[in-house]
Amino acid sequence: MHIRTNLATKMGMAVAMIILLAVAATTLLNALRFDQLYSQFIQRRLDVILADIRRDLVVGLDLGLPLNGIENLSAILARHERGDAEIVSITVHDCQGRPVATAGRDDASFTPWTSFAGQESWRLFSTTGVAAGRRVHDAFGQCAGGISVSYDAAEYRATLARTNSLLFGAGGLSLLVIIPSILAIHAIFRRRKTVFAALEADVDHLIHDQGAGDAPDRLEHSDTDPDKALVESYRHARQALVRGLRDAARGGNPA
Amino acid sequence: MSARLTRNAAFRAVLVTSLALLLALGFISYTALTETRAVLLGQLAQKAELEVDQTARRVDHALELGIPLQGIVGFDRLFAGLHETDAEIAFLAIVGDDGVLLHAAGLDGEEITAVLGAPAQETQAGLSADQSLRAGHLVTYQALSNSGFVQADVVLGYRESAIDRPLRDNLLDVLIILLAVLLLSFEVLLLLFTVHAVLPARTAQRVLRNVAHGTFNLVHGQILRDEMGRAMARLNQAVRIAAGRTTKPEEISEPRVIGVRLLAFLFVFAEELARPIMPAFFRQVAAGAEGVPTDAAIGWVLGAHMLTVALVMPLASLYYERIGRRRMYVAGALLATAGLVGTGLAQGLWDLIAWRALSGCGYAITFTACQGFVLENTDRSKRSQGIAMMVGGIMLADICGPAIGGVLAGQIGARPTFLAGACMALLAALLVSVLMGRALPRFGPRAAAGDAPARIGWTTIAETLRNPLLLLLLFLIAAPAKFLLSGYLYFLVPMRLSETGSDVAEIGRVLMIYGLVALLLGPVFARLADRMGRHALVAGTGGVIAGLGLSLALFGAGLPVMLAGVAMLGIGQALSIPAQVATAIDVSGAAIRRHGQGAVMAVMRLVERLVGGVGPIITASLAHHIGLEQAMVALGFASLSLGGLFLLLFPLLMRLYGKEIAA
Repeated sequence: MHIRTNLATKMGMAVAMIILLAVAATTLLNALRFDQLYSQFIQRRLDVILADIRRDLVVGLDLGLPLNGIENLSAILARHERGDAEIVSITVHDCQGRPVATAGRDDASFTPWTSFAGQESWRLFSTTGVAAGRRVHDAFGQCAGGISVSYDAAEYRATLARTNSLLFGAGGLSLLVIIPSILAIHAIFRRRKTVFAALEADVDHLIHDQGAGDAPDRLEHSDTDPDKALVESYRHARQALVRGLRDAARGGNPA
Repeated sequence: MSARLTRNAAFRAVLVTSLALLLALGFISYTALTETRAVLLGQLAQKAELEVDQTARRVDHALELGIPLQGIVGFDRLFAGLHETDAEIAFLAIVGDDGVLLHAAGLDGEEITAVLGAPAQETQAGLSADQSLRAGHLVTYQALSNSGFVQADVVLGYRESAIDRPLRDNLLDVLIILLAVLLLSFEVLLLLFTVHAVLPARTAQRVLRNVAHGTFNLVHGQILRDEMGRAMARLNQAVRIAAGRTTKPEEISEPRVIGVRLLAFLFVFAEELARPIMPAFFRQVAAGAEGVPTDAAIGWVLGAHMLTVALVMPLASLYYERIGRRRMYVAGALLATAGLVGTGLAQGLWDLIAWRALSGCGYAITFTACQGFVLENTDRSKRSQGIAMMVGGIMLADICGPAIGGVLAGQIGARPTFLAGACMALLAALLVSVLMGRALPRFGPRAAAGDAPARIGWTTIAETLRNPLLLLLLFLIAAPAKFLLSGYLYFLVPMRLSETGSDVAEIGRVLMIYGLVALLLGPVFARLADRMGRHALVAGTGGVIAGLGLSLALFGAGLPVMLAGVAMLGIGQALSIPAQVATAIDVSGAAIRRHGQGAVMAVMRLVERLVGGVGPIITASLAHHIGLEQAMVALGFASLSLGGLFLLLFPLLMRLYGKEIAA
C-alpha cells in the first residue's frame, strides 16, 4: 500500500521526532545526573561519619588496644548513629569481616562489608542498600579492622523514585510542545497543498479539454521559494504545453 | 537576518523547532534544577550539621580540660582538616553570645561578620532551625555545651557553590544537548526539505524550461508520493501526450548530494564521540604494557589511527572506481564499527593499536567514498558546493561528537562510549542505500575526468614537492597545523584537563569550542581572505595566532587558559586552512596543469595527514620528558616561529621562483 504524505506531514513528523529525542535525552540525563549527585552527597555525609569514628578508634589503637578491647566502642557507635537520623546502622568489624560492635537497627540480611572487607574504602549504592566503609589501621600500619555505615535505603529509594517521577512527568508534559509545533509547520506549508492541487487540476484540464486560457490566479500564491519558482516556470511553459497538446490531438508531433 | 531567509520555509520550520526545543528543555531543566537543588541542599545541611557537631565536641573537650575558650590554639588546623576533605567549606568560627568572633578561620573576621550579619534567605526547605542561607553561604550554628558561663556557638559556613557547581555542570550538559539537537534538527529538516521540495522543484523547472521551448523530450524522474508528486505525475502525462507516440521522453532528476552531509556526519560523529575520553582510556588500557612509558603509549595509539587514515586514503582512491562508492562506504563503515567495538573491548596496548588502526582504515575508506560520491554527482560548477556540503557534515560532527561523547561517557563510562560510536558507524552503513542513491547517468563514474577521488603516483608526489613555495607552505604552515590539531587538541588538552580535575563532560565541552569556532568563523575568514587577495599572509597569520594561543600555557595551563588556547587554535585554523588551499593553488600552476588540481591537493593532504599522524607520538614523548604544560608552550613557540618564518620567507621565495613556477 502506498501512503501519500504531504511535505508538511513529513516535516511535522521529523520535528516531532526531534523534540521527542531531545526531551527523552534531557530527561534521562537529568535523572542520571540526579542519581549521581544524590549518591555523591550521601557518600560525603557517610565519609564524615567514617572519618570521625576512625579518629575515635585510632586513639584506642594507638594505645595498643585491639578493636574489641576498646571499652566504650558501642557508646561511640551509638553516639554517631544518633547524630544522623538517616543512618540505620554502624558496624565495626575485624579484618576478616566478623562484627566486633554494632549500633542501630540490626539487619542481619544486610551485611555489605563482608564483600568489601579486603578493600581500603568502599561504597555500595543499590536498591537493596546504601552503605560505605573503610579499613582501620593500627600504629604499625597493619589492618586492625573496618567500619561500615549503612544509610536508610528506603529513604534513598523514595527520594530517587519521587525525583524520577517528577522529572519524567516534566518530560512528558514538555512533549506537549509537539502539538503547537506540528500546527505551526502545517501553517508554514499550508498553501503548498492548494497550489499543487490547483496545478494538477490545471494540467488535468489541459489534458482533457486542451484548454488554452491563462493560468488560473491561484497558481501565483505559494509559500516556499522552490515552489514559487516552479509555478512561475509552469506559467511560462503553459502556452507551449497547450500548443503541444493541441498538435498531438491533431495527430502532429512537435518534437 | 535577511528578509529572504525569514521567508524561507525551511528556515521557519527550524525556527519553530528551536523555539519548541527551548521551551521543552527549559521546562525540564528548570524542574530538574529546583528539585535537585532542594535535595542536595538538604544533604549538604545534614553534612554541615555532622561537621559542626564534631567541631563543637572537640572544642567542648578542650573546655573540659580547663582551657579557656579564648585560649584555644590550633583552630586554624581544625579548619584545615575540614577544608581538606571539602574545599567548599568557606569558614569556621566561634562566636560569643554578644556576636563577637572569638576564633575565625577560612575567611577573615570582617568577611565572616558580614556573612553572619546578612539577612537570611526565605527559602530554607531541608534546613534545621540552626541553619540558614546568608550571602551565598549555608551557615550552621551549634551551641557549645561546656563553655561554662560563656555562651558561644561554633559556626560553619559552606559556599552555596557546593550545590551550584554540580547544578551548573548539569545545565551545561543540557545546553550541549540543546545545541547538538538544534544543529541536528537543522540538518534533518534541511535534508527533508531539499529532498522533498528543492530537488523535485529544480527537476520540474528543467522539464518546464524544456517545454517552454516547445520540446517534449524530458519528463520528471523524481515523482514523490505527495502533493507535488501528484502534480508532476500529471505534468509528465501531459508532456508524454504532447511528445506523441514516436518520442519517448527521458526521465531526469537532480542528484541528491545532500545525503553525503549526513553520511559524513555519521562516520565522523562515530569516531569523535569518544574523543574526550581517548587519552585517559588509552592510558588505562595501556598501563600494563611493559617497557613502554604510558604517555608515549597514548601517543602511539592516537597516532596509529591517524597514520592509518593518511596511508589508506590514497590506496582507497586507487580502488574507488572498481569497488564503487556504496560498497566502499559500507565496507568502511563496517571496518570502523569493528574497530570501535574492538577499541571498547581492548585489554592491552598492542590490541588497542591494532583496533585503532582498523578504525582508521574504516574512516579513510568511508571518507574516500563520500568524496567520490560528491565528485560523481556534481559537475565543475557545483563541485565546491558539494564538497562544502560534505565538510559541513564533518564540522557538525566535530562539534557534536566530543560534546555529546563527554556527557555520555560521564554517565555510561568509557568502554560503552566506544560501543555507542560503533552503533553510529553501523547506522551509517545501514543508511547508505537511502542517502547515497544511484549516480545519475550524466555524472556517472566514468563519464568525465576528475569525477572520482584523485589518484596519486610517485611522479605526482615528486613533481608537486619539487615546488619550493609549496614546500614552504606545506612544512611551515599546513603540516604544523595538523600537528597542532592532533598533538595539542587530541592529546595535550584532554590529558591536561583530566590532570587538573575536569570531568569528561567538561573535556568534551572544551574540545567542542574548536569545532564551533571553526564552523562560525571559517566562512567569514574565507571571504575576508578572498577580499584581501593575500592568501599567503592570511595563512601565515593563522599559524601565528594558533601558536600564540598555545603559548598562553606559559602562564599556567588551567581551564581558562586551555579554553583560550583551544579557541585561538580554532581561530588560527579557520583563518589559515582556506587560505592554505588558495595559496597552494596559486603557487602550483604548472603542477596543476600537468596532474590536475585534485592530484596536487591530494599530495598536500597526504603529507599533512602523515605529519598529523606523528603529532601525538612526538607530543606524547615530549610531554613525557618535559611535562604537559611545557609541551604546550613548546608547540606554541614552534608554531609561532614557523608562522613568522613563513611570513618572512614566502615573499622572498615568491620573488625568486614565482614566475618560474607559474610558467
